[in-house]
Amino acid sequence: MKLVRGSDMLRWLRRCGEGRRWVVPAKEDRHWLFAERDGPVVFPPDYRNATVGPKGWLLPRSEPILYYRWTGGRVSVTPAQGWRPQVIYGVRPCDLKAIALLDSIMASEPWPETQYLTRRAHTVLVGMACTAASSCCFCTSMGVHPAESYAADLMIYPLQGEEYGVAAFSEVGREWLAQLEGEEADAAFSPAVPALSLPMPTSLEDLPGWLERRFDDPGWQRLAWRCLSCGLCAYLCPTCYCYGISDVDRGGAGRRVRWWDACTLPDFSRMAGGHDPRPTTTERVRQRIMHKLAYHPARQGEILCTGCGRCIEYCPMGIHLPAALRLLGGDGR
Amino acid sequence: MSWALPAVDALAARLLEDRLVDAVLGWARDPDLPWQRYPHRVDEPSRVGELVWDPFCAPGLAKLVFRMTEGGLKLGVLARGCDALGVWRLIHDRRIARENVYLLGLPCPGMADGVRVWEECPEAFDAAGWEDHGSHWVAVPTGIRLPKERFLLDKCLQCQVRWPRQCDEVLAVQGGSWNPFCEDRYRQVRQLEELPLPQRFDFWRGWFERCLRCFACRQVCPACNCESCSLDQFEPNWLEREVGVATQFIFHFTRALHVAGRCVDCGECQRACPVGFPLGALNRKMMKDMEDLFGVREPFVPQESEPLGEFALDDPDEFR
Repeated sequence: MKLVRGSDMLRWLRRCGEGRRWVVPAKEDRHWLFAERDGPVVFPPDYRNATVGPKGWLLPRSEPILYYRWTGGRVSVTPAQGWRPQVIYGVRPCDLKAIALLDSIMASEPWPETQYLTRRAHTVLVGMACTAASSCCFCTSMGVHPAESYAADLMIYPLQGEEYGVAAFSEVGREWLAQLEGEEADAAFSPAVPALSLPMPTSLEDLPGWLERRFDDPGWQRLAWRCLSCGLCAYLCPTCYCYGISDVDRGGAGRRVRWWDACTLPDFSRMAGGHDPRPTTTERVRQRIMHKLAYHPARQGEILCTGCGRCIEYCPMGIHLPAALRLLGGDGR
Repeated sequence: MSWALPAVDALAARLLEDRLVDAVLGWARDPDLPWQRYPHRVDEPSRVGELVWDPFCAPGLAKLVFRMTEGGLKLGVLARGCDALGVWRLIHDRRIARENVYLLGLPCPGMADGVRVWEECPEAFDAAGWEDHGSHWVAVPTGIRLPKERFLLDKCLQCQVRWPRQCDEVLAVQGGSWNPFCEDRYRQVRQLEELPLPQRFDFWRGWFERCLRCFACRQVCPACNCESCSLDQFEPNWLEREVGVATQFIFHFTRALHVAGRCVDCGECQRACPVGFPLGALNRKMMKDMEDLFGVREPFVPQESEPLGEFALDDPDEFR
């Protein structure tokens, strides 16, 4: 770890990231989002995490996959080029862990997602360890640590006042760090303690089995009856990655577009002919939680929730993971 | 005046005991999150104690009434002004039957942003009860005062429908009809109307770029009650799934025009939006037009017949 003053750190980062797009947490109106700015910034003390995380800068809300044109009965196809070298700065450990999860999902055979992977290969991730928790953070309950680096190339640890510690965790991170003039030292960093500690009914390892045994539990209905079937939880979730594909056709030419979809939306699982295997909010809310806490861990060995707390804070009807675990555990409310 | 939770409980219990309703819809405390109240349904008189009525009952209830009464359930609804008008929207749209709802009106002193109170004044949640002092909520017995100017939810700051109208009964509790924080309901609309066109375009474009199109605004809206939404259709595909400035314009303007003259100004769209889109300004522009062009004095109050929902043989304008 190198110790450095904040202003020197920003100058060094700006120099290393020259020519790249800077994506940084920005306060717009009253909400924090990751937005394009001309360089890194020091956060004000009230910054915990952005409402809309950095996911969209790697997996955009919608993006063209290819362009096509029909001429004389033949179709010509041009793949889309949708990336620019970028630095995503100030990413919290919960979102860094989520990006690590997305990386392995998007790289999985037999159909790796080349667009995501290309964009990712041209991205430098500068993480920022947590010094303050938001009211809904629960990362440690999900086995995520508020000072861990996960997918980050570089991690920044805010120390005393103007002093920061910086450490590298990848080749490009080490290249950048080598250009930083700073004292090499071991500094103790004590991260924020998450605000929420989830009432876990079982160990994280046993959670998939515990949930599978409760697939038909009436608790799902007691939780999901008030779900209004929007996609808010999935779109704010740093690990939700489901997408749909459709063509934007303008008479013989057009583009094939990939866009975020969400298993909580009512038409997500509706099939041709009208059958829907998840006809009500009960099945849909169950699917979303089971995918994160049971199906994905059973298949890939990793829980698909990093405890960022966004679904808890923003669901307009107050549906959230702690409530699910409690209701399935047998508490009647 | 006190928030009179015992009176709410007693009334709910009486409705259930007298079999006037099968269930009562209100709010309950979230056992996991001290600041949160979520919509809660009570079926037994013995369980009315689960209901809560305090400054943190943020969620609107009207949209839930729609689905809950589909099977013929008779539902008692704890209704603030916004909830009552939302339910009447559904009644006038023939989505729910008047006889299937019993509206228990609660005059509303405005609701607080619970997360914000939790972050700035967590001891407020030790209260046993609450009193409304106009500009403040006051916790009983701790005496902690929460200034509304600081903590009111956006939707409540701009609320003009605090008094529960057209209810089966109204509990004579705290709160009045006047909202001192909303003297001019069209203030923001006027400000936007005065902006030169390029700036006005930039204002909306900025919001369209931020909108995730998660559909939370549509899903909470009691006026958005169509069997199937044109914006979901693939054939014909009115709205491309691609998210860009053009499709965002289509999404938000289609919705604003579809609820024009029908919006009850409950503010739920703005509360639900995770990025803070000022949807209220779009809807109030439509409301202002209803006043200016059609002379409707309270365009947010659902009527049996409405200017944009009425067909008249002697209409001065021909269909062309």
